[in-house]
Amino acid sequence: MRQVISGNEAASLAVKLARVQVISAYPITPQTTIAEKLSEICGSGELAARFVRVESEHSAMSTLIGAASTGVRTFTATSAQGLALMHEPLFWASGARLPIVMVDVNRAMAAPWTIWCDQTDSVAQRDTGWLQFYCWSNQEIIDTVICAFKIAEKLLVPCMVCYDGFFISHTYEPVEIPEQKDVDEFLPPRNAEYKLDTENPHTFSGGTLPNYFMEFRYKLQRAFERAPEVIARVYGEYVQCFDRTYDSVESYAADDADAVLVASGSAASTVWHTVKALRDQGRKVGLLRIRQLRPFPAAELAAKIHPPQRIGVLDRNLSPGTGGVFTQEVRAALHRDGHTGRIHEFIAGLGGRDITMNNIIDIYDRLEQKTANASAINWVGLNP
Amino acid sequence: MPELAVSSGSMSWNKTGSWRSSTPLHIDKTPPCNFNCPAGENIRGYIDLLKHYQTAEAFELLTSANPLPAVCGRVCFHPCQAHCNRHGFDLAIQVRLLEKFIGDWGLEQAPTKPLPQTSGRKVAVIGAGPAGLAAAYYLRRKGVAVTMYDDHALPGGILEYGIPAYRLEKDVLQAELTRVLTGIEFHPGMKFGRDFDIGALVEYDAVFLATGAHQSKRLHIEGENIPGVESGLGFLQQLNSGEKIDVQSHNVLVIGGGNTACDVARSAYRLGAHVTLLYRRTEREMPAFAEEIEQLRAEPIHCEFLVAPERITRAENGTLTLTAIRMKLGEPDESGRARPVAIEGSQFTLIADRIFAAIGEDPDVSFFPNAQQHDDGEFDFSGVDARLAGKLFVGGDLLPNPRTVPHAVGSGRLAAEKILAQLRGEPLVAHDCVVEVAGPEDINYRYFTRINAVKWQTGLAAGGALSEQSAHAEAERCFSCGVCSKCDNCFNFCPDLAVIKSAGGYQVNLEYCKGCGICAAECPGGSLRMRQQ
Amino acid sequence: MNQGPHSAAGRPAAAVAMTDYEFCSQYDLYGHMACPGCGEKILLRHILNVLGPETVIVCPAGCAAVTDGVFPHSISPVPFLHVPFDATPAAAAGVRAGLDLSGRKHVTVLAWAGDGATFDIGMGALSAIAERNENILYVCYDNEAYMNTGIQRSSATPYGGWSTTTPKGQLKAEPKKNIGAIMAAHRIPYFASGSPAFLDDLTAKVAQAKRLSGLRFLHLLSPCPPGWKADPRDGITLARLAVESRLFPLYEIIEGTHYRLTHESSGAGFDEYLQLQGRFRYMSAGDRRILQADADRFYAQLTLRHNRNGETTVIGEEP
Ligand SMILES: Cc1cc2nc3c(=O)[nH]c(=O)nc-3n(C[C@H](O)[C@H](O)[C@H](O)COP(=O)(O)OP(=O)(O)OC[C@H]3O[C@@H](n4cnc5c(N)ncnc54)[C@H](O)[C@@H]3O)c2cc1C
Ligand code: SF4
Ligand code: SF4
Ligand code: SF4
Repeated sequence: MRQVISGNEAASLAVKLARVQVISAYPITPQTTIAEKLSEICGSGELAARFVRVESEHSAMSTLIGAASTGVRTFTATSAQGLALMHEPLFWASGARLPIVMVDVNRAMAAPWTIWCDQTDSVAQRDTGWLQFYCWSNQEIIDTVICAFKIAEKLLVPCMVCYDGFFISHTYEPVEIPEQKDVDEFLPPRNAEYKLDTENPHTFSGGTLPNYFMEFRYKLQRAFERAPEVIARVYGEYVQCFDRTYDSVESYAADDADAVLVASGSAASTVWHTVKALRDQGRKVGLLRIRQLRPFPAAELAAKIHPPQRIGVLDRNLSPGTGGVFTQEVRAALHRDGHTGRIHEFIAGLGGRDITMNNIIDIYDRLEQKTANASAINWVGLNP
Repeated sequence: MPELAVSSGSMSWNKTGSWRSSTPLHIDKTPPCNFNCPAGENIRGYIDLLKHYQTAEAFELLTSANPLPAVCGRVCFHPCQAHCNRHGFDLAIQVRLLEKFIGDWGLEQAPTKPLPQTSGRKVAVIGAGPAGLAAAYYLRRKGVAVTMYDDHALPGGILEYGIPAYRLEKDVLQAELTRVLTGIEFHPGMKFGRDFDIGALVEYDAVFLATGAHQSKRLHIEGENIPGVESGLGFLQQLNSGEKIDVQSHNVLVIGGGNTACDVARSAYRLGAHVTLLYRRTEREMPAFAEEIEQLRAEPIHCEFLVAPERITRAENGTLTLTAIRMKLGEPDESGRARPVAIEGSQFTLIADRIFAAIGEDPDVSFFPNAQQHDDGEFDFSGVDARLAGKLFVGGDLLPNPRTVPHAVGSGRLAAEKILAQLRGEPLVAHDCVVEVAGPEDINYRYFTRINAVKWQTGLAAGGALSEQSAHAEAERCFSCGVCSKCDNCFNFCPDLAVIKSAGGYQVNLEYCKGCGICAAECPGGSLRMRQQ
Repeated sequence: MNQGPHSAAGRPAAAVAMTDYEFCSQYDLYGHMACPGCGEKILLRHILNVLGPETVIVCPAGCAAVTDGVFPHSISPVPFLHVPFDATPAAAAGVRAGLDLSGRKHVTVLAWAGDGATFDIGMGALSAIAERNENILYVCYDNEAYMNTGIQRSSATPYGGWSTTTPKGQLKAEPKKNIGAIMAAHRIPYFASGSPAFLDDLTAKVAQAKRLSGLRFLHLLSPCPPGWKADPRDGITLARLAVESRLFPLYEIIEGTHYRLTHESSGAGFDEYLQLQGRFRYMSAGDRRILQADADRFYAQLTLRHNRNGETTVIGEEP
């Protein structure tokens, strides 16, 4: 069934289709309509889930830690400050290996106050041990949220699905909505090996001394190392059922391009449109869209870059003192692969500023004309 | 290793006992009531049973040491009660009433238990007072055939012929004696030395001699033998035998300060006499039991203290004149009491119709003319006759013990044990081991609420006897000094679950006990203590 | 008024006959890491004893978490979930939701948290589950400071108390937070205070809490010998004196309005209570008077409310 819905509605529908059992969320713009929609779905009985209406995002995540420990399927959504407030329990969720799925509707971090989009909130949580997906369309949201449950539950790692606030969350697009029976087939109920069970009592996450702690971190790392294969398999199954699939790094006219821009989220679609337009003019530019920050698809990315292409990374986030987080990741990945070319860093669109096609054309120009600074941040659209 | 930090085992490998620097020990101390009971009763023990409404078991336990609970509940002076640790807190546990309650229960409800077959061993008991009765009772219950002789028509000794009926009802006494004498061959009116002699005793494996002390001490003053001057014990004997004695409106003088003197004075008063008791020391030195003195003083009996008789004369009309002298207290004598010293020239006279001398009794052992007596009063019968060599045991008032019913009972039971050991050819297991008596410092007073002693006592025994309910309430007050009361405190309060409760009691699991000391601190009666490692 | 554990005849107060202690002893609670004389473990074993095996514990950072064991070992006979310090109420709500959704509605969710987690860092979340009346039994074992981290003051530390963050010269200048009033203000079905020295009172309250549903809150005094600078042997004695001296009265609040004293505190033992603990060593005579007057005042309020039951008691109204 095809429906024109917003990004937040897509996420909510995916939660319903995944037959989530416990939801807990706290309102924050631009995520709020997810909490509203899910409340409605739970209230109407369309979904036999408990919606725990907590008093903070910290409690939302804590509630899911408790609920997921009983073996049920859980979901929450948040943005920005809310995600930051969850920082502590995010580590707990991954350390306790709870397959919680969360949507983060990307929003810049205050201060000063803002409700507009950038990815600083979620990239700042990259070390918490969560899988992170970045979507660029409402269709991708519904597909990815459904897959996220399967991936998380297979790996015992929590999963964050991110998309840009307002640009995606509040934008309506036609979306192919999977049939419930197909989703049920694709995603059976969660089957937890360990859970709070009075018949088989265990203690969870108890004090662990240096003799074991490192091993648990090693196991978590191993799960992330297994993730690419598991993710690929899950999408492989998904395509069988639903005829749609996604790669961790998606290439658009990048193979033969002289200048390649790496981007994610809604910015990537602007890049995509720009690439299309520039290709029409005969310019050999391309796009590599990154769908995951964790695990970072290093090998997939390296395989899709063909020196001596000129590489730029578009970051809609800032780690002050360093720069864009995706840039760092790209540099590290390519360096590890033996790549010696320069990686050009472009920071754009912070705090909801538009990233226009002209901005992108300008980036391609600078890459092609070698006027982009290779050793410092190239700020895009800045009026200092 | 699991994928996540999920526990797979208990902590029992963590032997926290190694943290301990002191160790709790469940070691019972002797409660002062038990320690001070001359009959050797386990008082705390039967109180504990009363707490649980187990009167039958309490009776069983009590009579395992004293076959005369109904009697002792009435006439024993109860040093247990005097030494009760609860005494200093609010009010001593009223052991006398509890014992009486159990004794009376026994008179009405004690099941008749079959006695064991006699084994062929035979013991003769001479004297059916409390000492003889106790010895006979325990011997018979161990399968020994007992033959008992007494010169009186009825058994009981002083219980029957000395203690007046208003203190010890005859029906109570006889009912108790009937139970005690079950299975025992009793020969009344048989006086040893008059009606039978050593020859008749030769056939027995052992002989227990408990003829008591019945010979009134002489006053050693002029006129003590004139008519109208009589022995106090003799008066009580007549009275107890049912003789009519007319002292109505007579002036009666009683000389002495012991139990006999008190009983005589109070009995005479009950017969309508005007009674004056003369004692040469003060009330404080009176050898009679405190309770007896208290009751005496509550009655309209005139007491002259610090007075000693010097001479008695008799007028034509039979009126007696006693000349007495006033005394004062001097240095303590060998008994530890202040010695009375005559005050020169303080003589005065008293007129009386009758005078009873009750200054004490001596044993009469004229049946063994060659018996020796040591300085401390102990008789030595070892040389009296070769045929009795090693077979003669002595008890009751013949011993230099305090002359009390429980002492007599205790000596009788001990004699029975000695005889049984001898019959088995075994040495007697020593009883005199060092005991630690639980004192007030052993009690955790936080566990006990003070009662209003006067109110409590008045409410307790309306009509002089306890109901089952009030016996229970009284028993509930017992501290259980030094002995585990199975209160579960140590078990409940141990943070380490190191106190293990089993049917047999409580043990400390030293593998895990951290030695915090809570169990010992919270043991109400002090039967748990910490020992430094 | 309830007679309390002291009968008229003055028999032992804590002589509770535990008919059902098998639950705790059949499982291996041995080897826990709590300090000698720790009150928390006394409380826990008696609570579990009443609740039975169909219980799940949710426990934040604190003494209980640390002393339960080290991976892969634990003393807990029932499922036990460690959660972040500030997360207990919310995590318990999640466990509740998860169990309900899995057809395990009958299982008791026991939130087992110290005073730091309850009075301080978890207060917001606690208020939230109270307001939502989540079906949770929340029990705070209150040792009146952050003991596990080394005796820092919490808002449950008594007035005049020493701690490493309220040292000599800067003793705690604020009275202990009134958690009962806070919980009552949320109109939860059941609030009760308890002391390990009064086990029959305690177990009756746990049983009552177990019977009810919605948010039930027990505030239990948990003697901490090292933190209170007391002899470990005195733990229960102190727990008793705290009650008798009225510093920690035993009472219940039903539906946030109905107050009931469950033990008549004699008022005696205040000085002894302070004397037995080094943490009160630096208190001035004046401060002692303030503390005692405060305790007496609170007790008088409770008595009034207790006596006024049956009439309407207005929340927050000072008697
Ligand atoms: C008046 C009085 C009141 C007392 N009141 C109390 C009291 O309230 N509480 C208390 O604890 N103690 C009391 N006593 C002391 C107590 O009664 C005695 O200590 C106790 O009875 C001694 O017991 P017994 O068995 O040794 O001797 P007795 O009770 O004297 O019994 C000895 C028996 O042996 C018999 N007998 C004596 N010679 C012979 C013989 N040759 N042949 C056969 N039979 C013989 C006697 O007739 C007597 O029946 C009292 C004593 C007296 C005199
Ligand atoms: S309190 Fe009980 S055990 Fe202690 S002395 Fe008195 S009767 Fe004996
Ligand atoms: S605490 Fe109670 S059960 Fe334990 S030894 Fe003492 S009296 Fe016995
Ligand atoms: S209460 Fe327990 S741990 Fe403490 S000393 Fe007694 S047995 Fe040992």
